[in-house]
Amino acid sequence: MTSIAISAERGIGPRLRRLGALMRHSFLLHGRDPGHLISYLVMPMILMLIFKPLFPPVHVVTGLLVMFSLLSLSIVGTVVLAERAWHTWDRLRATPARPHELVLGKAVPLLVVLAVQQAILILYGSALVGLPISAPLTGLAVVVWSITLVALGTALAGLVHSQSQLSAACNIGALSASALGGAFVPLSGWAATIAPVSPGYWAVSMLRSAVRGDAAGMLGPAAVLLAIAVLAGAIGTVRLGRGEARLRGLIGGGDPAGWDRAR
Amino acid sequence: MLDASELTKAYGTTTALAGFTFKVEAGEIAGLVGHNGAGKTTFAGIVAGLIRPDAGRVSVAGLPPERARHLLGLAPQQLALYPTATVRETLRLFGGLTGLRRRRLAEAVTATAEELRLGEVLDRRVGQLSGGQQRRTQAATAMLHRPALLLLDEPTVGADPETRQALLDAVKARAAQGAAVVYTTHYLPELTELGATLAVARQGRVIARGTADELLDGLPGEVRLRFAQREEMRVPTTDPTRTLAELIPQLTEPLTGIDVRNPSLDDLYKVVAVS
Repeated sequence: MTSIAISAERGIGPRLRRLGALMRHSFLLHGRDPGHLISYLVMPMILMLIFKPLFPPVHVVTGLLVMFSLLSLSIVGTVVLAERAWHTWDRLRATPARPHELVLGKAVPLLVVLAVQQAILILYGSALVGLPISAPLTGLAVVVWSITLVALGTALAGLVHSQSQLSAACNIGALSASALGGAFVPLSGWAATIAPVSPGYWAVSMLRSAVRGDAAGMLGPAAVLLAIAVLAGAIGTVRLGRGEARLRGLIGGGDPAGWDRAR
Repeated sequence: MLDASELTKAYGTTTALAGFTFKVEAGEIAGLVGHNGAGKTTFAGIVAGLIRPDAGRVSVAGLPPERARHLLGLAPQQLALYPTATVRETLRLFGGLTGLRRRRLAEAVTATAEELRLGEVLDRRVGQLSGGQQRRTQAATAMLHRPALLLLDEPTVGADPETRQALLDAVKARAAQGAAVVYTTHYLPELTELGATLAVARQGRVIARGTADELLDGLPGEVRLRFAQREEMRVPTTDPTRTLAELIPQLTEPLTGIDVRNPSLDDLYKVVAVS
């Protein structure tokens, strides 16, 4: 009888330990499947060298960074979709881990992965393309943009029903949002008018202000991006909080009822 | 340990539970059987705190499910594992989430893996394991922290004999240590081997509850008479001795054999849950 678990662990210590267990495991899974991340690092590195003679370094590096970090939404979305397809999300919900611990345990490693991707591209751009950078502001911009990307990816994964839908949404969305953001060429006419609807526009504006060391210029775009992150995060949390019920029928699960409860 | 009373749950116009009442004591293995759609999985989801009932109440050791997750070990019907993680990494994750750490965690991982015959595959990725090994890994995630309530939803579906035996042995050991076990299955002989009490569910309600002997009492078994020259004769009966005493004097042909089959859980299932 003595070996049966009865008492609950309470307090901040057990919460941090659960968070640690979740984050360790998430990092481990990222490390096992680095294909997307590697391709979204290598491709912009090659393109930076090709575009270097054609555009100013700030345009080349920030434009490609925004475009390929938007493509990296598929990394975030794939993580969330995989949790649903493997039924592990509801299995985690049945453990003592609280919902915010589960979300943080998945989001923080993604945030780190995206921030590292962007940091590597900026350092590469500085070393090989000649990008002048203001380190503290650029670091802050990278964190803000990574938070926005994690939130957007989570919302996207909560809205789509399959990996192919996710891929299509990421590819179309990333290219459109980066083009509208002025990542490729300066915008004019109707494109310039509607550009502010794109998160890419605010990301490009923020990053270009940050590398120039223009804190005031960075503030507005950062605020818009954080607002987008809050909205997208709320959508994603609500959709994922409903559990796997929505997806279960689509991937051939056996329980028509599903685990539908939002905690 | 588990006390569910008058649970109801509907999904749109489909009623999953319609007054589901079920209690399980510490140290008891309770077999929950019934057709697909009888409400077993929805009930498991409610106990795990994943589904909110429309009405009724449920408690685990006096706590609502949301606050009793540390007491629960859940092995859902569908596999819920990370294929790219190893068995050891999987067990460390779920052990860590249930409060085990450092030496206790390492010891629990090793002991549970040995108990479920996973010792040799601890460092292999789950996606590379056989179906039976994956089933045992899933069960290990539920049993690792020695929970007070084990909720095993069809844990041996598609399992090979080795997996089935390993799981049954582990379940019996947990119950002997004081855990309450809810074991849903369609394989009724497993419940006989586990010495489980039974609950038969149909259309969202538990319609029969008791020990196997209690529930089988009064159900007909069967007397089979074999002959050399014609097909065997099968006679359903609740009193084989009396039936044979009445039948044998009337026979005009020589017998080659007599079999008496007592009522089984399969008979119970056919009578109570299906018919």
